[in-house]
Amino acid sequence: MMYCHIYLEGNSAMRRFLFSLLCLLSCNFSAFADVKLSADESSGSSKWQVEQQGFSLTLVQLGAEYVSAVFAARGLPKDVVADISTYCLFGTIIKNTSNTTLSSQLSDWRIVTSEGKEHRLKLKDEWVKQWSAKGVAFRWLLLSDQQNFDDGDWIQGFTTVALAPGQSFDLYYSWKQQGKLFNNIIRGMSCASVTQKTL
Amino acid sequence: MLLPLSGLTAEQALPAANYKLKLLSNPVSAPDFLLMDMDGQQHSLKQYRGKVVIINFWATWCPPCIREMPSLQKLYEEFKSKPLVVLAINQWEDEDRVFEYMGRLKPAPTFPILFDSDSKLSDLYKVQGLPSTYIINKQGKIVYRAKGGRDFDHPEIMGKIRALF
Repeated sequence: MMYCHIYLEGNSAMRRFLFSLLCLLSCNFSAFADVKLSADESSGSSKWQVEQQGFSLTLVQLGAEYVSAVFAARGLPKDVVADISTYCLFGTIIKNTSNTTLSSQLSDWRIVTSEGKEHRLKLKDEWVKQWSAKGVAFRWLLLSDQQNFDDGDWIQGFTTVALAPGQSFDLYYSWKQQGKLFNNIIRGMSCASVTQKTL
Repeated sequence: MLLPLSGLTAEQALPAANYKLKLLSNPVSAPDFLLMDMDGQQHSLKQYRGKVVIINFWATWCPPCIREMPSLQKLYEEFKSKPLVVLAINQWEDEDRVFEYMGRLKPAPTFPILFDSDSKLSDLYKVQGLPSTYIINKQGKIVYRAKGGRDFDHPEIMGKIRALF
């Protein structure tokens, strides 16, 4: 976790600089992995896919209308559904494609908008705590913060960040494999737009 | 409602199913439970001691859960004459919704579907995401686990189950 500690302790510009520098110095091929971007013609949803060092990450834009429909279908209260629908959500799939174990911690990931403002993801535990205070015991659909992956394991769920529709940003993400921390950046991502058809 | 990842269909977005199971080097006792099935019949883990038990945590909104379910049924049919129990434990849904989905699966599951409506059992098993599967030996110990969808009728998984009888 050494690199993450450095990353977290500096100011925003310094953190980004250090992150990029450390990626270049310490992350082997991680900074140079190909990011595959594809789009669904009917919905306009974009999908980013990247795989390196046995860590496969897929992120799919989710529009507010779709998010609202999915959470409402679980029978959640209207205010809960309305609240999460204001966030920027991604359908997120993490897969271990290596022959060893690996882990990821979403609380270490950062999002930097095109204006240079840094955000962290709103974690599942935060949502669950918020819902629990309203008497709602639901804890599914969202990706758990900390995940360990054995050979062949994978998981899917939603990730959330408090950004406006259409906002563009770079995602700084990391994972651990055999005690070593890897970092990478997906540049030019964006939240689903307001007008995006979602279902 | 299935959970397609936005306009991209679930099948397009999901990784290919695989057949890898995590062998636990130190098998732990599987927590006991008492849950109701779709017919109102109660099932406890304890009642199946002496049999191999596969516990699959799932929900209808989870595309990989729906995708792997027919392979669980094929495995179940393959070992019908063996001491094998498959229990699919649904999360957060009611019987009407689940019943509707069962008919859409080919082959439709004939093993018991149990309801963990408040997700307390999945908490006990420390389930972080769906689907998650635990394979319990005849002594009541968890010997294998899988996070994410699998092809349960793959020869490699079949072989591992066979070795537990």
